[in-house]
Amino acid sequence: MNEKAGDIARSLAEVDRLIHEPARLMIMTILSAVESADFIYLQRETGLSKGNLSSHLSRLEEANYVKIEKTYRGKIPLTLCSLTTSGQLAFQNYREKIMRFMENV
Amino acid sequence: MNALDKAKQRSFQYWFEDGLNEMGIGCLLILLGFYFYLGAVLPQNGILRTILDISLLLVIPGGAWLVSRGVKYFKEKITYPRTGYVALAQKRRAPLWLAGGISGLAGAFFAAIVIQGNLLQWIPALTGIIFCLVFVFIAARVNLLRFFILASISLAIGIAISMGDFGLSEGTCAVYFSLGLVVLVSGACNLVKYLRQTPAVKDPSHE
Repeated sequence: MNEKAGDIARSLAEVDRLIHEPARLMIMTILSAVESADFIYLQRETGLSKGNLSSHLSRLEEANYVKIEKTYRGKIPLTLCSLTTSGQLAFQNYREKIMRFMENV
Repeated sequence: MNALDKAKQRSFQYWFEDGLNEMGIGCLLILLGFYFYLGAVLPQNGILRTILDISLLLVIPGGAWLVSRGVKYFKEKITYPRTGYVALAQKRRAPLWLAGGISGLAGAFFAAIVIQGNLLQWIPALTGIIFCLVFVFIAARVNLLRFFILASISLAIGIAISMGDFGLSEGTCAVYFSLGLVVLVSGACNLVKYLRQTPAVKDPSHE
């Protein structure tokens, strides 16, 4: 029984820590539910400050989980974010691991 | 409902948050009401009536196109600078039972009209039922109470106008005008609420 509990605990250590961070998990969850969203929508939905959101998005972009397109709508800057294919796979993988863990707890 | 489903539902809700879509639908219904009004007042065998009959092929798609362009324009001016832009995930297809139910209901009704001419009186009620189902479908998808209210009002308007026995053209015109007005007012109220709650972002830069 202890061995099983150990396995379960160890399985949690395998989750993607980049996604596991709460703010980034919020961003990934929102982006996985939509096709794309702009910076203002993400900021409003997550409740993060501009700087905080920007830094988390940069981390996700570096990992190639999120694609960020900077364009303009008229004269207004528009930052459009969407999940990449590897981001979708990583998030799916993360969800499966967490769900398996929760089922065994 | 898990967090992912909630995020998905939230994005659908967001699409209706500013009331602009309802205002667009309301304008389209009023336009159709005006079309049926012309149908009621123009003489049956005149050239204008023929033009009007043919123009129905343009009124519906043309009106829908104009309304969607208008909604997009106002969303770009009002909504996106305030609360951002979101592109919804690929649209889900309507559940088979719902599509079958609506088609079956409409088919049965029209079959009954063909068999018994006096059922024409109930066309406004059928219109009300169809809009009721559309609003119930939206309400179930976005979980917003006001769409359940709009569904109930649609049903009530359709039945009330049918029971008033105004005649086919006048009844159809009345049901579209009334429904359009209700949906337009609902959207306008929501837009006012949205504008009060969400001031425009002063500095739109993100870095």
